[in-house]
This record gives sequence, structure tokens and C-alpha cells, in this order.
Amino acid sequence: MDAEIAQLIAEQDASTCEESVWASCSHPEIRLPLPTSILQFQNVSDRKQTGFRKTVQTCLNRIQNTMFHHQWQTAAELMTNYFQILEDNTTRKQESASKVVWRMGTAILQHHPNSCTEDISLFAGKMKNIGVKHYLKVCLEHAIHLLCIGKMDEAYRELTLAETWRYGEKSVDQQKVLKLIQGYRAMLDYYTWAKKNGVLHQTADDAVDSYSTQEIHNYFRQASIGLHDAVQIPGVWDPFILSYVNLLDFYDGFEEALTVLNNYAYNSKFPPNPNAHVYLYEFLKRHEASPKKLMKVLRILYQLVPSHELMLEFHSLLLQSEKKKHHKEALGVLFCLLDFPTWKENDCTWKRLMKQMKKAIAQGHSDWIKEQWELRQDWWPAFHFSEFRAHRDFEENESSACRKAMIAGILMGKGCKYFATIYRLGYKVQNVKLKKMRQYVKDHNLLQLSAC
Amino acid sequence: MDEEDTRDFQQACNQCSVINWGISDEGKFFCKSCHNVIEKTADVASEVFMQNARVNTISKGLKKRDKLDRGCEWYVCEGFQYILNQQAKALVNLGTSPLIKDEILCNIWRRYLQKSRNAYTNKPIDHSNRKRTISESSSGSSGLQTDSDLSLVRGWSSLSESDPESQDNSIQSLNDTVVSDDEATSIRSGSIDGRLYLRAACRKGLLMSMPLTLAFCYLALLWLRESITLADLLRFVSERHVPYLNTFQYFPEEMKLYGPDIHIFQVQSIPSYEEIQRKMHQLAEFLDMPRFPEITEKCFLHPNILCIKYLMEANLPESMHIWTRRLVKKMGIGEVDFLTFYPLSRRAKTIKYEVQAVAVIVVALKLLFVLDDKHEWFLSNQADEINKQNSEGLKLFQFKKWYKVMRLRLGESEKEVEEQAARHMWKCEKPLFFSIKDKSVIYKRKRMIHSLKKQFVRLNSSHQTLEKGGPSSFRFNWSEDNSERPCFHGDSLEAYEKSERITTVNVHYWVNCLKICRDKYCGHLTKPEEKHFPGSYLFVLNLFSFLLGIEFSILHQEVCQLEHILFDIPETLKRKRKYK
Repeated sequence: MDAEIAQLIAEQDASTCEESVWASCSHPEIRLPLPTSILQFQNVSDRKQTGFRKTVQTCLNRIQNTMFHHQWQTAAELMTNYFQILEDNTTRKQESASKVVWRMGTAILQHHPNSCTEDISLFAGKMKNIGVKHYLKVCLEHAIHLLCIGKMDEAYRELTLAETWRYGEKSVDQQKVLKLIQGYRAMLDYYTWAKKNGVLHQTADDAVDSYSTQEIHNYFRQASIGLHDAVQIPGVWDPFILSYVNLLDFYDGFEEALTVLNNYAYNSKFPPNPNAHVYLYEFLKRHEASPKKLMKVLRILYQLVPSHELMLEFHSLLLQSEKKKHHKEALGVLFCLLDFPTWKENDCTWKRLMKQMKKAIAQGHSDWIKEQWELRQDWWPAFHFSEFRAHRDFEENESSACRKAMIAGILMGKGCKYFATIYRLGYKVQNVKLKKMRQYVKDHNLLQLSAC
Repeated sequence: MDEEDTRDFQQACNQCSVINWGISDEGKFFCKSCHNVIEKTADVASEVFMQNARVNTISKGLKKRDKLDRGCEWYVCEGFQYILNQQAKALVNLGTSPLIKDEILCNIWRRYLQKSRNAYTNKPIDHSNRKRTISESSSGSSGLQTDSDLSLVRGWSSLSESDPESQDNSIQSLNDTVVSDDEATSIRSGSIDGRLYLRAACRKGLLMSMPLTLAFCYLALLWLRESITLADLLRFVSERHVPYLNTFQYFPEEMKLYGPDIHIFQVQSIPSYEEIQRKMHQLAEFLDMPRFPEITEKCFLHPNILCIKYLMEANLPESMHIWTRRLVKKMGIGEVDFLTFYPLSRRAKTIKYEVQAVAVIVVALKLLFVLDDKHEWFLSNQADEINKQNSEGLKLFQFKKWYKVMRLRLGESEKEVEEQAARHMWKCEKPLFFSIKDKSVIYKRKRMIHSLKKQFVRLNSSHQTLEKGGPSSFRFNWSEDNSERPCFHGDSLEAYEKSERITTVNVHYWVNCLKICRDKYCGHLTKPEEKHFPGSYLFVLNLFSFLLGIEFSILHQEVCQLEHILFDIPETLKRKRKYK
């Protein structure tokens, strides 16, 4: 083996002979091959970086690494060495560093086994002092942390403090954060209001004194002002909107609440948000608005999220209507729902579809079904009506499998795999019913319709 | 009342030797035990009436301190003098000859001061607002008869005395004498000339800087032919055995650092090997240094001895030393004239002693094992078989085994070093500010960082302090009886030594860098790309550059240069061209 290797090496060396330079007479024995590849010019770019920066950089990398591996102990140790970055000679670096220190330090403290809530609060306090630019953000995040661990009062205090903070002119960024802070504070006000209000309603009417009513009203005022301001800014404000609407609703501000919700749903400055329409619909429903209005809201939601669970309600609303146009639309809604895997095994939807298809056929509107089917005929057979599915559906629920088979039969004729399988499986058990079904399918399937 | 006023006066009565003073109605001190009245008067509140008395009892510390607590006035070079003094002390602690402080470094520094016209000269450099009362030297021990900057002379005279007591006093007395009544200097910088110092960089001569202090140290070490190489020195600096970082925080209380002084004294990185080497050369030239003491075969800096050291450290067999010796002899790099530093000679050249020695080892390894990713493994397999055949007697060195052991060790050490690098603290405890305006901000920030640190330290209750070993010139230690880290010192190389002549020992020898830059015929070697090197050669270079703490490319360049000498490559190329 080794001899072979030696041979190989020798051969290779011989092959490179031509490129090699032969040493001249003075050293006739040695030859000096010149590997051309390594003789490329190389630009040495020595970017000067001070040792301090290098140290800090390696330290940062290591901390991030340890945090990534959840070694909080080591990360905390390394943090003690990392704080020196706050003394960097350039202010720009200092500022960005304070943010990094704040983020990493908070994460470490929140996960470190030896740290307690006081530690985190203390740290947040220090960070507010060091990076004044991030004061508001630190406040907000700390408040949210407090909320997460269920310290409502402390969070409220933190937020009120942050709200009254004054330091020079605020940047656009800070303005935004301030709005958020106000919003959250108002949220907490709302929370207190809701709690107290609940208590108040439980107690007997005559026990209520004017003082507590006054107090509750105060909370209402604070919350409504804050929430009103917050929801004006384009963005996603779902919990804020709900609270605000609840508040207004409670004090009979129907019109106001409606404008708020309308604005939230239809203002083009706001990002498209399906929930906005859901809230609007629920609000209208609660106040017994006309079906026409409800349908209008749901139609938009249908366009945004065709698979939304409110679509069933939309379907029933459409069916309640007298118009044929609406009935056609309702069929479309059902078909759309079944396009989505979440609705694939929903019995109710299939039942409704069955019912409506029969009705449509009876009323001589098979073209509606055809129209829908044409869009889906290339993928629904594999999606819904495979042989495998037929077996499974039949095992799970016979009657619903039969229903589905009937739909399949209407859509694709009695020869389709799904129908054939179910028919074969169910023939022995429900002889009569299936025969009836077969006859129905034979008469009313789409192929039949198109033939005549 | 009496007791309060006399408490501070602790001199014994010269009649009865008892300390029991009272104050008479006229305000004079008298001894309560023997009723002896002395000249001293009490400095009671009635200053208006007793101004003379007040002057008598003024304390020393009140002299020349301004409102900003700027301390006493001092010059930048005094600061450097202090730092050099500290560094010299540290070097003595590390085991160099005590001469280094009081003889060598002191003299070099004096020479520098003279050459840069800071002191010992009739024409001192003219700092625009440099005013100085030349006060009488009270110690009078100055043996140097020059008439300017007596204060500096005084500082050094005490430094040159090897009495540690006067050592500490030196700066004190120095500061005491540097008394200026120029109020205009009370702006911005703590030192008197700090503000103008950096601006003066364009003026002739070598400006004192922090890296230059290390060049001074190296120059002194080289003069003494001490066993601390430059690579060692830099490592001691980074390990804090030699003060370099934040040395100013040990300045005497009265020497305050402000503004521009910070730029001068604050250190942001540890200088590179090459930088110090270059600075040392410049310095030696600037100082007109004579020929340095000869480096003979007995000296530590001689390649033969350095080779032994690095062979030991790299865990290579001792018998390789025969080869390195041969190489050194053949290349002529062991000769006294070659090794001795003579800054003023025309072709003066600083030699990277340790880098060169390591390069010799690399060349020897290449001669024996080729290091082209083929032969060394092949040879190791052969050696393994030979070892199996005669299990008794000397083991034959196997490159493969050595590689495995060393790679493991290198990986560990690199990790350790990186760990330490990440934890390196650069900033000092003492707050530094560029202007009075920043003062409060900086103080606040300091306090904040301190409390942050405290909080996180408390978090790690089970604090394990990294054990810091004492200073050592060895990074790796190998001992015979360690099964995990086998030692190869005793292995033989017999089977590899096929020929006595260096040039014939291995026909497969390859030269990695032959190309000489032809741009304007500058003669520099081009740097090849790292990735094209054979893996084992790369590893060897990495190992040794890690040991020395230098950059990879420096070592590679040194290897190339040695190969040029060894094979006389320029000559070869010339002939080849002719032949074509």
C-alpha cells in the first residue's frame, strides 16, 4: 500500500517536472518546483481597528452565541466585560451600544436563574439613564414585561411616569412610542374600569354611592381619551379598538363607536385588517342592524378572507334573502369555503352544500353549480374525491360520506371514483337509500345536463 | 479650645520632649509641662490681626492648587518618564537585570530628552507658553551640570539612585519644583504642554508616544541581551505583566489628566510586533546609538539557543536541533556581525530574532518532512511500521502523531486566548474627561457602568475567577509522563536523515515563494495566498505564529527569506533566465 502511494507521489512529481525550475550547477541535486497558483499577488488590506473595538466585538459575538445556546450564566459573566463599550470614545458608538446593552441585558436578566423581578426593574432604570434616546422604549417594554408577569399596578405606574417624561424635543420615532405608551396606559385604565364596573353591577343598586360612580367615571374618561388618541394612528389596534368600543357602547355612544369602527375598517391609511370588519360586523349584529348592512360588511370580509368562519353566517344571511342573486352568491361562498383544507372535513358545510345544490337543481339553476365547478374541476377530484378519501370518510361517518358521494356524483357523474367506491362500500348496508341516490345522480349530474 | 488648636502641632518640646501644648493669651504656644514658650503662634480666627502668624502655619498642600482641582503642573515627558519607570520596574520583576532601570533605560531616556531638546540642552524647545521657574534644587544630588530644566534632572537623579525611597519621592519633588505662576496655562489640558504636544508632531525628531515606551523597553532589553524577546515583551504587555494600558491611573495624585493628555496617554490597542520593531529602529537611529553589545553563541538571542527554546515549546524532538544548527551555519545567520544591531551602519537592519529562529525550525521541518500534504503522512506511516518492528529503543518521530497532539493543543489554547481577549478590560477605573463640561456626564456614566457591573457580578454568585498564571516565556509545557499530551522531545529522527548535506536531504523540497516583485524592481517578495498553501505547512505556520503572537504573514515572509539565502534563489533565477 505504502509502496503504491510512494509510486503515485513519484509519478505526480515527475509530471510537474516541466514546470519546475532546475537548480543550476551550484546545487545540482535539488529541484525547485514553482507552484504557480500560490504566486498570485495579494492585496493586504489591513483595516485598522483598535484593540478595544476588537475586544468588544469578540465579546459581543460570544455573548450572542451563548444567548443563542441559552447559556445565561456565561452570558451574564461576559456582560460584565461588555459594559466597557459604553465608554467608547465616539458618542455614536455609545448610543448604539446602549441599545445593544439594554436589549441583551434584559434578555439575560429575564432568563437568568438567579435574577428576580427587582433586578430587571433596576436594570431598566439604569438603561433609561444611560440611553436617554431609548427612554420611552425602555419604559414601554418594561411595562409590557410587568404586564406579562401580572404586575398591573407597577406597569401602570411605569406607563404614567413615561407619559409625563420631558426631555428636549421628541423625534418622530419617540412620538410614536409615546402614543403607544398612552394607548397602553389607557388600556389599563379600561381594565380597571371594567373590573370596577363589574363589581358595581353585582352589588345591589342602593348600596352604590356617588363616590364610586364618580371614580368609575374618571377611569372611563381617562381610558376613552387615551384610546381615542391611540386609535387615530394608522396601525393594528385590535385590543384597543375592542376596549374603546366597549367603553363607548356602555355609555350609549353608539354613533361614536360606529364611526370608530368604520374608520378602523375602511380608512385606507390603515393596513388591511380582517379583524376590523369582524368587529364591525359583531358590533352591528349586537345592535340588530339590518341584514343588508350586515351582508355588506361580510361581503368585504369574504373578499379579504374567504375561509373565515363568519362565512357560514354570511351564507345563512344570503339564503334568508329573497333575491336569486344572493342565492347564487351563497353557493359560491360554500364552494370557496371548501377550497380550504381547514373546512375540508367540516360536515356542516357539506350538508349545506348538498342542500343548496339540490335546491338549485330543483329550481333549474344547474348552471350555477356548473359555473363553480368549472373553476375547480381540475383539482377538486384529487383534493376531495380521491379513492383513499372515500375509504376514510366511509370509515369515519357513513352518512356524511354518502352525502359527499352524492355531491361528487352530481358534479362528475356516477362513474367517478368517489361515488363508485362509496356505492360499493355502502351497497350491502343501505341498499335502498343508495339506489335512490344513484338514480338521483343518474338523472341530475352535470354531464347529463350538458348533454341535453 | 486649646486642645483643638494645638492638636495639629505634634512637635515635641525641645526642653522636656513632651507633646503637651497650650496657647497663651497672646496666642503663643507654650509647653504645659515645662512652661517653655516657643515662637509658634496659634492661627485662630483673628486673621486680620495676625496675618504674619497665619503665613507661618500655612500647610504645604495649599500651594498652587487652583479651583478646578487640576493638581500640580507637569509636562508630558514627565508622564512618559513615570510610565517608563513603571515599566522598568516591571521588567526587573520579571527577572531582567536590575541594571535595566537605573543604567540602561535611564541613560537612553536622558539621551532622548537631550536629542529631542527637552532637557540637558542650552536650547530647549520652545513651547509657546512654557514658563517655568527654575527653582533651586533642594536635594542637590544632581550630578548633571546643565542649566535648563533642572526639575527634570532632579527627577532623574533620584531615579538613577537605586534607592526605592527616593524613587517614589522623585516625582513628588519633581512636581513640587514645577511651579509656574502663569495663569494662562490653566486651560483644558492637565499637563502644561499637552495641548501643543500633538500639534508639534511635525517638528523634527521623534515624538514620544505610548508605543515608543515599548520601543524604549525593547531597546534596553536588546542592549542588555536579555532573554525577553520582543514577542515575549508584547505578550507580557497584553497579559498586564508589563504596565502599558492605563498606566496613567497610577500617576501621582497631583498629575491630573485632562483633554489632550488623554489622547497622548490613553491606549486603545496593543501595538504590533512590526510597529515596535520599526519604532525601535527609528529610535536607535534618532539617538545615534553606538554598536550594540555583540550577540554571540552564548546569548539567548542567538538562533541556536532560541531554536532550542521553540523546539521544546513546539514539542519537537531535540535531535532536530542538529538540523537547525546546520541550517543556521549554512545560511550564516548565526554570525556575530549579522546578529548584532548597529543602528548607524549603512545597512543597518533589525533582526526579528525569535521569528527568524522559528523560521529556521520551519525550514528544517520542510527539509525533513516536505510538508506538502503527501510526504509527511507517507513518512509517518513508514515510521509507524519501523517503530512496530523494534518496539524497544528510541522511538522514531512521527509527524502524524505530533500533528494530532499539537492541533488539539493549539485549538484549546486559541480558544482560551479568544476567551481572554473577549474579557479584556481596556478602560480604567479613573474617569477621564476632555473638558470640564463633560465632567459630570462622565462621572455619572462611570458610576452607572460600575453599578451595572456590580449587578451582573452579583448575578453570578458562584463566581469562578479565572486563575491567572504567573508570567512565563513559555505558552506550552510538555512533560514526559503525560499520557494525554505525549511529549516528543526524546524521539529520534534517524530514519529521515538520508544525507549529510542539507541540499540533498530531501529531493522533494519545494519552495513556496520564489517570485520577486518586478514592479520597478523593488525586490520585495510577493505574498502568496494563504489558501493555496499545503495544509500541514499552513498548520506549522499557524502554530508558530500563535506561539509568538505575531501575524501569520510575517513568519511566512521570514521563511521565504531564509529559503532565499539557503538556496541562493536570486542566483538560480538569474541563471535560469540566461539559460532560456
